[in-house]
Order: sequence, then structure tokens, then C-alpha cells
Amino acid sequence: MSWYNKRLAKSLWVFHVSASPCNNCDIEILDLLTPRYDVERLGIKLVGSIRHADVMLVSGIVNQKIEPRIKRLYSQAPKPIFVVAIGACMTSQGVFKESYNRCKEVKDVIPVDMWIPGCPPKPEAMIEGIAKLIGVLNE
Amino acid sequence: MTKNRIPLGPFHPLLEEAEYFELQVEGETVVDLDMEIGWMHRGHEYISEQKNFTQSIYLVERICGICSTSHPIACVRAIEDVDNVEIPVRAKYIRSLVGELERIHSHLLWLGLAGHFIGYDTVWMWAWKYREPVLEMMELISGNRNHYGMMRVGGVAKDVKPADIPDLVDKLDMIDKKMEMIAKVANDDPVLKARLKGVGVLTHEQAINYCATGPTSRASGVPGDVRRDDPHESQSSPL
Amino acid sequence: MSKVDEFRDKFKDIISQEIDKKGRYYFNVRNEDLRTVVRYLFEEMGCRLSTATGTEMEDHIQVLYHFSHDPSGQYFCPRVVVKNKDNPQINSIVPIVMGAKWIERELFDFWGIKFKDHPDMRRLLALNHPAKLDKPMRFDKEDV
Repeated sequence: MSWYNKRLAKSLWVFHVSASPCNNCDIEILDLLTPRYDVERLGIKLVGSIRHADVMLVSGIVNQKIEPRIKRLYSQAPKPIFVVAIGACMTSQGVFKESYNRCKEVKDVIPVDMWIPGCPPKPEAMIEGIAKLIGVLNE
Repeated sequence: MTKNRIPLGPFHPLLEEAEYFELQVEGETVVDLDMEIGWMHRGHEYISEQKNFTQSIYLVERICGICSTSHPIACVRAIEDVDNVEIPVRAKYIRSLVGELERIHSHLLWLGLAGHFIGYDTVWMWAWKYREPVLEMMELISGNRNHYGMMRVGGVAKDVKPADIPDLVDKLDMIDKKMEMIAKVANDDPVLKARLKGVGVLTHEQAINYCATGPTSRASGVPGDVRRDDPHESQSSPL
Repeated sequence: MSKVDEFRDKFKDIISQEIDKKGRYYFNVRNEDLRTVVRYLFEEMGCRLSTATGTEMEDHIQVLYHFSHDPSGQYFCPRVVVKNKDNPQINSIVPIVMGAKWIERELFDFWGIKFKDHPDMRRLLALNHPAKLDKPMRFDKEDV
């Protein structure tokens, strides 16, 4: 599979899923595509459907109402797919630890490959994460 | 013409958050609408019952990532209203400075996203390019690009250093000129006019019955501006 | 004569327990007189409904409405107190103010308050919830 991974690393297509966030991480993700931090020069494109995507970006605490939908979305994605969890809400539930509406553990909902902490993580931190992913694929 | 039902499900490229709409369409015109919400509910009211006053300011900031100054200002003013606490004039002006900078970055944000959702990506790239200097100014004042954490009961958390002021003034002058250009371009653009003119009109009668407020109601002819009617912070104590 | 004094003179027999602060005027009304007061505030004075909030205390449940008179910046806030905690009922103001539909649905979802003559009394945020979330803001709820 390594020849496939090397071709994939040249141009990753990204789909963004919002699972009950406050939208700050989503705005910082969209900020990566604008002229200051331009990641389109690395070949990364935002697509409209999960069936076209190579990387799934998830943000937010996973609500009990949206949990079955996220599982269904993960099963609809063509494998291999990499899941990147963005924000403090994903890594440790942030300030919402005492909420009655959260899922128990994010790891039990979908398998996550990379975590990027921060509230919100700065665009430079997200670019470092993407560079590490491309480095892993190139091996 | 026959009516059709189109579900616009929780995940869609047009939606930043998860919402469910069920549209009834005749041809291309939307005739009726039903909505289901609740996918973003996190239980802020329940969590804030277990925190003290200072912790709840950080909780209230994370209601929304874009308007993350309006909620702490309301929270802090409600707590100060219990005992009629007076805050120093310099603190009032710093609160207004942070609030007005957030107004600028929030307006540029919706302008860019409105262009992106109708497929006009040029508007998106230009509006968000001039949003970056505003976020740099916020980082100089408070230390973070969003979720500033500047408000406290009785004042603000940090002071503006005098050594930073020439830098801030330079950036503001640059943004001032570019805002005039963007406003003129957005008003005169033929593509935006062709797509948006006459679509989704809210009449004067409906705006009053459904209690619209802010720019939405001013666009329908109902006058009302909270900066004039209920001034707070630096608007109520001019130098 | 200020707006608050005019209002107080007109309704002095049905309001009680007034609190008068700068820009905010809070008072209690009974459930039966709520629609009269709201009709005067919305149709004759031209106020706008800002929001409505609910609280539970040891012996009652209360709902506080916030009406804003925009030209002068003054807020009028009628409060309705319900002593029956098992089955709280309040008259709905949707026949007068169309914008109150969703805020009353949210109060029904979180506290279980039923509004009479509401056209669409369903839950708002816990609709089709997989764990059957029921009245999360009441006292007698187990912690997560």
C-alpha cells in the first residue's frame, strides 16, 4: 500500500464534520484555506461529501443525539480514511465535563488517528499536524 | 405544479452546524419549512449551576466562537447589577475596544461566508484576508485570537500597554481604507445583486410580529439600535 | 410622566411586588391577568418581546418575560408564579405575540410547563432524543 500512500500524500481531500462544537475550531479550519495560511498550495481541498474524502476532521463534544449519525457517517466513508480530532473538546471534553448530554468517551464512538489540542488550536498547530500526517504517509 | 419534499439533513456542505430542514418546494420556490434542532445542545445552564462567578465567565464564552465577547459582557454586567458596582472609566473603554474589534471581525466573517455559500469564492477570500490584521490586534491586546478571557467582575483582566499603541493605530488605519473599498464593491457587484435581490423578503408586519431585532429589523424598516436606546460601557460615559 | 408611572397607574390593582431599577421594571401578575398586561404592552405601547426565562425555587416555579420599549430603552418584566409543581400550567401568549412560539416550547422541554392554547406543544431540543431526556433543569434529576 505504500505506493498508494505516497500518491495520496500529494493531495489530500478533506471533509469537515461538526459534532456539537462552539464553531471556533470550524472557523479556524476555514481560516487555513484563506490567503494568509493557504494550504491549497499543499493540494488540500475541502469537499462536500464524505464519499469523496481521504481525511475526516471532527470537532466538538459528541452529543448523545448526534452519536448514531457520526457512526453512520464513518461507515459510509471509503476506507482507508484518517480521522483527525481537533480541539480541546475532542481530547478531554474541555469545560463540558459535567454535561448531561455528552457521550462517555470519544474513542468508543469512532477510532481516531490524530489529536490536535487547543481552544482553539492555532492555524500553525494544525499545519504542523498535517505535515506530520504527510510525513507518516510518505514512509 | 406539484409539490416536492426535500430533506436537508444534519450534515450538508452549506451548514456550519448540524440542523435538519424539511423543505416543501414548487419548482424552485420554497413554499413551506419544518425544522428540527437539538444536535448542538450541550447543557450550559445545568453546568453553570455548579460553577462560581469567575468560572462561569469562561463557560459563557464558549457558547459561540464568533461572538465570544458579547456573552461575557452580558454575564459580567448582570453580576455587577446585583449590587450596583461602578467600574473605572478606563475599564469601560477597554471593554468597548474589545467589543468593537469583535464587531469588525464578525461582519467580515459573515460577508465572506455569504459569498462562499452562493458559490462566489472571491468575496470569501478578500473578506477573510482583511480579517487577519484584526485578529492580530486581538492577540496583541489579550493573548488569543478568539476566546479572549478579558472580562472580570469589576473591570477587565489585562491592560493595554502604551508600547503597543502605535502598532494598533497603524493597523486600524490600514483596515479603515480597505473597509470602504469592500463596502463599495459589495454594494455594486452585479453577481450578488442578480442572486440575492428579491429572495427571502421579510415584510414590516412580519418583522414586528416575530420580534426581529438588530440589522434584520432595520432592513425591514423597523427602527431600533441598542447603541442608541440602551447605551452601555463607553457609550454611556463619553470623555 | 414617565412610561413606568403611566403603566403603574393604569394597572395598579393587578400588579404586585414591584422592583424598580434603572432601565428595568419587574412586577408580579397572576396567570389570569397575564394576557391583559401583554396585550397592552405589545399592541398599545409597541414593546418587543426580548426573551423569557424560567426558574425553579423550593416551593414554586416562575417564568419571567422581558419586554423592551425600544424608543426609550426601558424594560418591562412581568413574572408569573405557579405553585403547583407537579403539573404547572400557564396561559400562552402566542395568540398575541407570534414570536413566542419557540421560547414556550423550550420552557416546556426543560421544566415541563404546559402552555394553554399553544398551537404546537412539542419539545424543542430533546425531540427524538435517543436517551429520552426528560425535564433536565428540574431539581430531582440524577447527576451524570
